[in-house]
Formats: sequence, structure tokens, C-alpha cells
Amino acid sequence: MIEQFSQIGRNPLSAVLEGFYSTSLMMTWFSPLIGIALSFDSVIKERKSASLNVLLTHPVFRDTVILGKMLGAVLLLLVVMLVSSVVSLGTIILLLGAKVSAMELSRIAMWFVLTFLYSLVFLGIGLVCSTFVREATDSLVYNIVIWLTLSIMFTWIITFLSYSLEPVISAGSLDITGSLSALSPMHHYAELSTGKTGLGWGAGGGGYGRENMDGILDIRFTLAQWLKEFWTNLVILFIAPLLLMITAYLKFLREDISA
Amino acid sequence: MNYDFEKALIIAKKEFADKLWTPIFYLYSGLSYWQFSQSPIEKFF
Repeated sequence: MIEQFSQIGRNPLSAVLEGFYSTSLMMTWFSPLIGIALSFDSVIKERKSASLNVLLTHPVFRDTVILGKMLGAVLLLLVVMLVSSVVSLGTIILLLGAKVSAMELSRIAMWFVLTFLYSLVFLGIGLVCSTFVREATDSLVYNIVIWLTLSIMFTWIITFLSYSLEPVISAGSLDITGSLSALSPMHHYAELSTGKTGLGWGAGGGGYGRENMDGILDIRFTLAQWLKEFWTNLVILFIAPLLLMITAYLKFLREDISA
Repeated sequence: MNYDFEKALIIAKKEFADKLWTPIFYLYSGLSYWQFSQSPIEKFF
């Protein structure tokens, strides 16, 4: 499909976008940790300190409390992501002394949205854990295990499965590893931002510029072409945090608030 | 359902202020690590 696309530039990545390609690798590993840190004890903390009981004796609805908590965490995450992206861009410009074109800026803006959505998924996971789990330390451990499984070790797990399931895969036409990859937000973020199927441990850092599209940062392709190729990943990155937040919201409404 | 956005915003502001230390700590650790990686002592490890 990609072969039919017109190519609007010769090099896949400009110098500035190459910097953001490396930042993507870093963000894949560590931005979930920020999302988790901002949400893993949101509800637990209030329940433990009994301030939730006091808060709910005031004329405040439960949905207002959880909505406020979500809004605060999401806004802080947005600020953190914005600051780190601007710092990255500033450092790259300072080091390279390169001018940034409007097209590059638009790609960086899109990349920022993708990175924000990716960390928002983990903020959602943290919120869900925070409403289901009773202890902050338990919630943190669960969240870290989820982060390690879905972001860091996921490439290893998939590689291991693809080897162990090789007879099954070669016997039928089922793409088991492909379907399993879809479980990880890391896979969707990696495809959208760099065009790779995964950026976890063992995926390798470099290697771009072949005929395949290298995600949002690849300036050989237009945004429409990028959207046509990766729209499913984008939809999943939009829907996943939304579903997780709805789950946390519904659980909080039905929760027993006593510690 | 009846949403009271003003009260939600008050709670959001409190949550924002409560959690602000987290990214600041991250930034501090990141900068410390970066400074460490630039220093000659890192070569000994």
C-alpha cells in the first residue's frame, strides 16, 4: 500500500525530527511512569486520610469529586508533557542551530498529542487501580508491573510467544503475535510516532529510512497518508484512556468510602 | 446527572497542587542523572 504513496521529501527525517525520533524512544519507556505517578494514589490517599468522608459530608456529589481528581491529574500531565516537549525542542534547536519549518512544527505538535495520549492511558490505568485497590503501595506495585509488562518487556514477551507458537502460526493463517501486539499501548504509540511495531526492550533503537513509513515524523509522507496508514492505532489511543476513566468513574460512584 | 463544575475545578486545583511535587522531583532526578552522565566520574562505573 505504501509503495503507491507519493513521496514529498527525499530524506525520511529532518535533523530536528530526528531528535524527536530519539525522544520518542525515551518517551515510550518513561512517560507512562509520569502518568502512573500522578494517579496511582488519587482516591486511596483521600480514603486513607479520611478526608473523603469529610469532603462528602459537604454538599458535593461523588461524581464532582472524581471528575475534579481526573481533571487535576490530566491538566498536570498536560503541563508536564508540554514543558518536556518544549525543553526537547529548545535543546535540539540550540544544539543544531537549525531553523524549524511550519511543517516540522505541525509534526512536532502531532507528536506531542500522541505522546500525551500514550501517557494518558497509563494515567487511566493508575486511576482504575486507585479506585479498586485499598493500599497505595499495592496500587504502585500493580501499576509498575503493568508498565513493565506493557511497555518495557512487551517486545520480549511477543518475541518469546512468536517463537513458542511458531508451529501454530505456520500451520494456520492466524496472526497471533500481531493480535497480541494490539494489547499494548506501547505498540500503538510506536507505530504512530516511529512506524515501528514496538519500542520496548529488545526492539532496537535505530533503523529508519526504508520504504516503510516512519510514523508521524516521516516527512516523505503527508498527514493524510499517515492517517490512512495508522488510523486504527490513533483510534485506540483515543478510546483506551476514555474507557479507563469511565471505569474509574463508575467504580468510584459505587464505592464504599470507609477506609 | 447534575454537574457542579465550579466545585470540580476546586478539587482539580487541589489535586494539581498536591501532585505538583512529582514532576518537579522527576525533573530534578533527570537533571541530576544528566549532570552525572556528563561528569568524568561516570567513566568509573
